[in-house]
Amino acid sequence: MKNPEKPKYNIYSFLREMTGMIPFHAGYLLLIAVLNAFLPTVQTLAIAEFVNRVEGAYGGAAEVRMVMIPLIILLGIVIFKQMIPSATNLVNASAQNRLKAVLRNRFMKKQAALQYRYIEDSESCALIYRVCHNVENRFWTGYRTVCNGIELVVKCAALMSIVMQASILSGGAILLVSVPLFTLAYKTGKQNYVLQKDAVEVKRRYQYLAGILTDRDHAKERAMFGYSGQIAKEYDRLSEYANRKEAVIEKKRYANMKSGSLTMVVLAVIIMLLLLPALSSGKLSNGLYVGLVTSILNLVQGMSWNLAGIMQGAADLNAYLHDVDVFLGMEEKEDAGAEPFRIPGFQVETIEFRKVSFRYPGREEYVLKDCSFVLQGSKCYAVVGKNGVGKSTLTKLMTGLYEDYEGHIFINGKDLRDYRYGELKWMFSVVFQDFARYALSFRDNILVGNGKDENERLLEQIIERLELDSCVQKLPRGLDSQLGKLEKDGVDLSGGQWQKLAIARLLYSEAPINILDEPTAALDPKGEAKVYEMFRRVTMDEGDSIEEGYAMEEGRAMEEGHAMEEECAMEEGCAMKEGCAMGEGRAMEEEHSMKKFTILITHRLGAARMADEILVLDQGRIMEQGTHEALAGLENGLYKEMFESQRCWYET
Amino acid sequence: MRHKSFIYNNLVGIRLLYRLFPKSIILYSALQMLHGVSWVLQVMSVQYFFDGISENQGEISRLVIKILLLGAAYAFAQSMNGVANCYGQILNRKVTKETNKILFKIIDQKEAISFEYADELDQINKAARGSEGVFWVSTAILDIVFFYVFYFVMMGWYLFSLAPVLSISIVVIFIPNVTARLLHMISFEHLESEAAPVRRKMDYYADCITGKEYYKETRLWGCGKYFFDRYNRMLKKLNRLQFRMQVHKEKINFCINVLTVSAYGIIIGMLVYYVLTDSISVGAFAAVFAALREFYGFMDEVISERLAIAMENMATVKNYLSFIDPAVREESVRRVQKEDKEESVRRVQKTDKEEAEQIKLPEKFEIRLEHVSFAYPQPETGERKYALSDIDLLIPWGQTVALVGENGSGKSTLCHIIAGLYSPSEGAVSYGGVCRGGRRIVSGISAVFQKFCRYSMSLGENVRISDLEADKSEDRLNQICRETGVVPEWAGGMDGMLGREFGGAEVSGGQWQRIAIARGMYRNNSLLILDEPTAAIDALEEKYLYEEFGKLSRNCTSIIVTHRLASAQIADRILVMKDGRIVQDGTHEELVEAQGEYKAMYELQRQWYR
Repeated sequence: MKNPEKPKYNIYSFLREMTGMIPFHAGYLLLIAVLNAFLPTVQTLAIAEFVNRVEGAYGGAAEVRMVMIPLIILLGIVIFKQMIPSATNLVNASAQNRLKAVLRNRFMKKQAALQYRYIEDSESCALIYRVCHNVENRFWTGYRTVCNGIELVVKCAALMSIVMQASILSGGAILLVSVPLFTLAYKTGKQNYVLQKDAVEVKRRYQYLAGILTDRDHAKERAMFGYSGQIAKEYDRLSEYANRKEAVIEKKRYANMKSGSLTMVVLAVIIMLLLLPALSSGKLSNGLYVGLVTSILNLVQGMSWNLAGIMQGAADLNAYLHDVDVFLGMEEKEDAGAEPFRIPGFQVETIEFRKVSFRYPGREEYVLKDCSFVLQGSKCYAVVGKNGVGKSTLTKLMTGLYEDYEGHIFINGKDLRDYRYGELKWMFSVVFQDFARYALSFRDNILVGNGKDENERLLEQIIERLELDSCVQKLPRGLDSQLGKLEKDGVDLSGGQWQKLAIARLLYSEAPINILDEPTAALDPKGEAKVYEMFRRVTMDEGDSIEEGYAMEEGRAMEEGHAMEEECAMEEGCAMKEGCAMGEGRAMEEEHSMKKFTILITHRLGAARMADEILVLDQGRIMEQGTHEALAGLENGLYKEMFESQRCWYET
Repeated sequence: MRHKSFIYNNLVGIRLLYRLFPKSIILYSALQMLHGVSWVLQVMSVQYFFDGISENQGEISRLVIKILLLGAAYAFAQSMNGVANCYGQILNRKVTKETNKILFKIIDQKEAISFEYADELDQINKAARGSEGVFWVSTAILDIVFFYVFYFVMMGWYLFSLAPVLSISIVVIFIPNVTARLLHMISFEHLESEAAPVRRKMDYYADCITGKEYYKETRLWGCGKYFFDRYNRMLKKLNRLQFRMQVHKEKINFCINVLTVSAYGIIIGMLVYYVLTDSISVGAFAAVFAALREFYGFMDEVISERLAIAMENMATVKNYLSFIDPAVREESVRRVQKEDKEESVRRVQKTDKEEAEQIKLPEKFEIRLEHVSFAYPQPETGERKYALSDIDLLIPWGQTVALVGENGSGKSTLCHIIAGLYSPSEGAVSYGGVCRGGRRIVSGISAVFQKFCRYSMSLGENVRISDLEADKSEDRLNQICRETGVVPEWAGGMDGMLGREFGGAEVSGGQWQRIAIARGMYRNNSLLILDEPTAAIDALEEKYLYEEFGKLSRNCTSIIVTHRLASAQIADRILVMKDGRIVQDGTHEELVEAQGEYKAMYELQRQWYR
């Protein structure tokens, strides 16, 4: 699983990419880092010069002109230190903008093209989130960490070189002392990072409890069951435990960090002591000594936070690059971003599953096992089964979301795998259980993904047909009203209205295969019956199901104006055909029927009954297939059992 | 005005902290003070040492002592820096725990309906977020007074001792600098609000491409490019905005920096002048020069970090502080403190006030609703739209009642009123003659809601959470799980975790629903409310469950909301709701006989099964 070899995406590729994407910004940052690194040295020399000249003039009155040069240098340093951050901030902003434009697009394209299995896997999702969230910031911060590291090293080296010049012996001694001190600091820095990670787990637990005690989702049960007091006690216990643990960690963290700076203090004292002989022998001027001490002491405070920060940054960057490597290595779906690609003259003849077996990645048990069945293009099908038997999996396989199944799926005798993905996209249109609610305008919600030509008439008919027209009229700007909360004037629809909208999207599409995957869960039975009926009228030939259709209507006899409604519906049905045919344009002329091949997936048996044939899914395969009558008559049949269990309530 | 409220809230916050942890807060202040002192000592030791170098030629031993002193001063400063900050971090956690506990108490006292009002919900959410920030925001003033001000005063005094003019001029030079920075901080805010909606849109379009809820549809409809285009449009806009903002910011920064640099220059000039005229030693010059950066650094820190962050978070903290309004605050603080001390006797000693707010229901009771109307809040229009209007209802003890009707007819709302979660806008509800009023019912009622919760806890806890005060006998738990078809193996035993959050077992929607039903049953109740308990359960299981309900509801009053009229038949009595009113009331047989809403619905459903 884990690749022991070196990851493909490492610090070198990271740096190479950074210099490729933002050469100017990256160069600037490095330059500033190096300049910054030399500042303490320059300052040391300037102070040395200043002190020496002032001391040299002792006894006599020193004149300003004598100390002019070191003074100007010192002021120059101040100006540099104060003014450069402004420029750096601008470079930061511009670099991040550029990175944002480049990286986000690139990573999102990758993300959109991933195999679908990653999206349903929570671990992969977490990783993708870690990589893609604020990606420009992660990259830029990573690069800054690198520059900071360089700065620190150069800074120390430059100062050391002055010390060496003054006295090689003491310089060597310092080097000898400081190496173990630095490794210690490095180690503790690393330790901090590990410690911090440990604390997170416990924290998540009590933060979850805090959520239960405060959020809206739990408000009702909280009030009903009155568990606040007890849960708060548990919260108290957990957070007390975590606090104690974190206090220890915190103390350790600070102790580590400060032991780093105390180490620096010790080092500074040692340097000062070691240089004393050189000072007294006159090898080292008073000025240089003072300057050196000033610079070294300046390092102390910076060092503890800086070093810890760099260590942390380096560890973060490392972990991040590892994640990026995994992310970039994720498999992509070929043609994932393709737009629907029409197959001229395509009509559904058969859909066949031949010995299809499938299990979700990372799972032991098969959802589908040797599942075989044939669907004829001239009929309407319903798939029923208990919860969790894999009804929706069928949809995911057919539409190419998952492709690593065993066995074959044929559409019109051609293997699904031999179709291009764009063709499949065109072929299917699906309303999922958890269909998307795009925060676009009402119109765009229907048009989205359905090609560029807008067929206003068809659109209006569909809206009318789904009885959405009254809803549209109430909207502030009709069809062009923004839905959702994205815009200030956005309006929200009710659950049922959204559902209708999703179905409208499907009706508007010219896809020859429609799948309704439990789309009516949010509707009440009356609404559900309406949707299914309406759907049936649109998508099936009236001919062979007309009797049933009337039978259904009788049940609704109490509804006002029902006869009218039905007539209208029939008319519209025809009109719809025309509308659609027009929409499909010249290429579709040979298509004489608007009949759409439909698969209903449901656990409500009443709805399944209106299909021409019903498939009963259980234990990973189709156990029964046939008309309602045939299945209801099957002795010991699963369908019969399910149907009877619901029917018995309605016997009077 | 803002500043006034900022300081006021800060003081309120400190008072709260002081009440919670008097000793710790004093210790914290003392540590910060010492921390400030240590920095000044550092500067002084440097000067002492440098002066030693210039004066004592050759005498190494005295220099060694001075070096060691200097080292000690630095070590002390570093240690204080660590200790003070570390103590702050630890104290912060302790404080957050307590402020959260107060928050929980107060949220618990809120009525469930509060969470339906957008404004109030927003307030609660903000308060919850504010709880985390109470410590840092409130200690901003403590830090400023005890650390920064102390440091600046001490430094001023030190400089004064070197040369009086020096310290005065530093103060004079600082004033424009400080004001400029403060102004800058405030002026920046409105720019940020301009970018927020653009960013929100950009994030949304990204979500349309890669978000879980949109992913498969965006892919199947092939509309990724459509969203990419929109995304990039927003991204460019945002980039432009942000860069403009940055430039604007840096322009001001530039001016401030010119000020700072000139101030710096003037002070250095003065220092040089004093050195050259021999008023101060070269050592003092070097020491002050080295300390100047710190001086400016601290000034920068206090304004653009400490104050800025405090002000940024003030809004949420203010929310928190006003959320736990003073009266309640005193009370809760007292209680929280008391709880800590008297862990064991706590539950017995409920305050009288709390007692008065609660009612315990008699063991067997009838439910009576008189002229009950209820309207959900409609913030924009102000117009009241009634979800329930003028409902009169008597449910005798032990009856099983089914509530049927279309979506939006008011079934759930009625359940919430009967359950005591919502108070009626008009009219009264009473239980066995006890009128609820605004009080809280603490026992006797249990419910399974349509949107039941899925707790990331163990299976056993998921069920038991409805009655945590009950004795923890395994028998009752096991029995109820058996009755409702909850199988411990789903989670690998009663103690097995559920839900993804903490790596527990993932169970299906239907299984969750059964667990929720078991939870509702577990609570000791005389009234059980089931709000569409079987929506996610398939036909076979549903039948089984309804048969169980029939058995279980024998020794209590129960109310079942359902869409499936078939299941309504297990009830003794069926109420049909439409547009917030009860339009039919009777047994199944009676309602099927009568022409009306019920029969129409029944026939409609029945024909599927003929």
